[in-house]
Amino acid sequence: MKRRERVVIALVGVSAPGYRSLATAYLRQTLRHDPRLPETWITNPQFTTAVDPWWIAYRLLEIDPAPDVFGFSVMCFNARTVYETIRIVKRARPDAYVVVGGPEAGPQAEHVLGAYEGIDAVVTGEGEYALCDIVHSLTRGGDPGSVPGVVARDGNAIVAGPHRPLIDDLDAVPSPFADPDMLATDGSAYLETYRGCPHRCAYCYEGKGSTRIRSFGWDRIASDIAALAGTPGMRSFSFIDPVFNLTRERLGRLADLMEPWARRGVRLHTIEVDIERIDAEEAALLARAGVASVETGPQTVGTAALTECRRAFDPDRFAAGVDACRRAGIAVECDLIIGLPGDTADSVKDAYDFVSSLDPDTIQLSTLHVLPGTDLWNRAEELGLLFDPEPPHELIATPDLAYADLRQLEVSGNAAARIHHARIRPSSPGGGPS
Amino acid sequence: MLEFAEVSIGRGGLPSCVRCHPAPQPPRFASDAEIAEALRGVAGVNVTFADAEPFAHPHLPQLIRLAVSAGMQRIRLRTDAGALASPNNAAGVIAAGVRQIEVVLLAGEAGAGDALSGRPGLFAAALAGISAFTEAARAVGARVAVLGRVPVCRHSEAGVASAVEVLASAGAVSIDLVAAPGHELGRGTLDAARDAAMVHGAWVRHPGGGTAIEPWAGAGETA
Repeated sequence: MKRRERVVIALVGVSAPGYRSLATAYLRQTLRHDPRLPETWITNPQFTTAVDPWWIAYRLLEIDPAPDVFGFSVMCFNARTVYETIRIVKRARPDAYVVVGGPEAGPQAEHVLGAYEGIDAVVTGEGEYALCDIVHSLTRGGDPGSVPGVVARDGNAIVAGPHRPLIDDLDAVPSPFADPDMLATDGSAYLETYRGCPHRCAYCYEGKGSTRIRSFGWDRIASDIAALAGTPGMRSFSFIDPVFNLTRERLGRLADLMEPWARRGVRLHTIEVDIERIDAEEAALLARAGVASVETGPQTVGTAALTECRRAFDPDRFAAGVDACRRAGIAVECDLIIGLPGDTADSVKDAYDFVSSLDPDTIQLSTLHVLPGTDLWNRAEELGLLFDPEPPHELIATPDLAYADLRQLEVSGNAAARIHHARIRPSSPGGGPS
Repeated sequence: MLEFAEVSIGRGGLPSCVRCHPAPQPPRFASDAEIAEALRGVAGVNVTFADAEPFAHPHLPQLIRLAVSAGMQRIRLRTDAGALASPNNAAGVIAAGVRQIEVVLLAGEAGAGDALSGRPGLFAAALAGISAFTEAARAVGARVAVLGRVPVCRHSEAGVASAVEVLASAGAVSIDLVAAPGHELGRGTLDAARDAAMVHGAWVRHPGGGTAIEPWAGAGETA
């Protein structure tokens, strides 16, 4: 790209139906606040995976003025849509610079660049400052391949910039909720209060291989909550923190911040928790925060799978946590993963039977997806995991479960779950069925 | 899967093979008191109203109220589903507390199905009823489940896989194959039925059969 005084950037969000991209909202705000950049015109078109890439490309190619840079956040569930969209856009606009990032692309940057010729650069970690540096480099006629945290095309070569450490001061990252154009919609909005995860579950990339937790400051958290909860029409949103009850003290502070909104009827849904640590006191804090539903494991109860996946499990504490939530009026969703290494058909059934015995509101079964950058991805050959190399990387077979076994477990398990869910609750308002 | 207690609400009215039963008895229905007594004896919170067509029972709304009052949380109607297509029936049973229907189907296409049941139009009415039930549930945000029940005799076995496919395509998540007394399902029939259901995301069971296909079967475990 030639040196220029203005750059047009399209940050493209492709989300699950009903949701909007928070990642591209962060990127947009950070770009806007970077004083090094020339005049930037940033657009943030939002799509869902239900839209055909052909028509996403149509919308992107219609943007006027035409973007110099396209940025995409890539996840396992949107990757096929994103890559196909890029293929079409790049063919129509070969001079546009295409950058991708996110958990699907970042951990396998060289592979992505090798496989998808329409992509010019991959951000390997957090994108806020990396994308700013890429744009800064481009506008000065520089080389994005030297930008820390970026792997980029350089002619026929693929070059990697130096490692970029994680952002220490998250409060310095402009809030996406301070953007007047950031439309938060009821039921689909979410925010984060920290990055990282205290656990290192082998199938998950949330912690990026570390247990380091970096939190936003409480003033920032309060401001973001107020911006979201105060959006006209907002009745329900969520937090994407992998463990909402990280500590009791933290949970108490979140309850303090959320309580005024909860009193006005704002509810939090599908909040992820460590349910084994929830007692009556924590359940009360969750209720005070307006939590209407929580999502938790156990994912598996098989000893071998728990060991391979580095997860702990105490059935009594798990059951007690579910009970505490139910007594506080909080609905519980229990998640199970089919196909974890070490699990057999019997241990999957045992997990379902255990969860079913607790009578949660929802039982969610899903088949293992072996995700880039995770421990299972790195050890797949050692563990004998056969999976689809194409995203979303669904499991094909394990040493204990053949392809047909997995499909039968999925279908029979989901049938059982659907029957479980189809019920009335006797405690509904007015005493009638709900 | 969850265990459901069967409470008999009478006898007759559900689809059955007219070649096996050429002179079906007129339906008769249990009284409210008999059903209330049966509900008191149910362990657990899951009940199926069985043995007679519930929408022909003169007191169906009362029966559902009795079930709710008895603490039942999962109330299932075994039915031909035809009446669900009538205005307000689907919405009415859902509002009353029914969340599951088990649809009895004899074949996979109208000609064979209506011939086996001896009831012209029943096949089409069943599919319309399933559709009405799921649509009514969606309208009020109720979580419901559609199940299937395929009675199998020597006259109907050839069409079992087709019946399963129709039910699965209509949204049934689990389908029971129930052999007539003295009749044993062929292994090929079971395999074909299971495969037809699987590709539509439904699970086939053969309760009490010699070649059982139970949930959570492992590799090769089909008998």
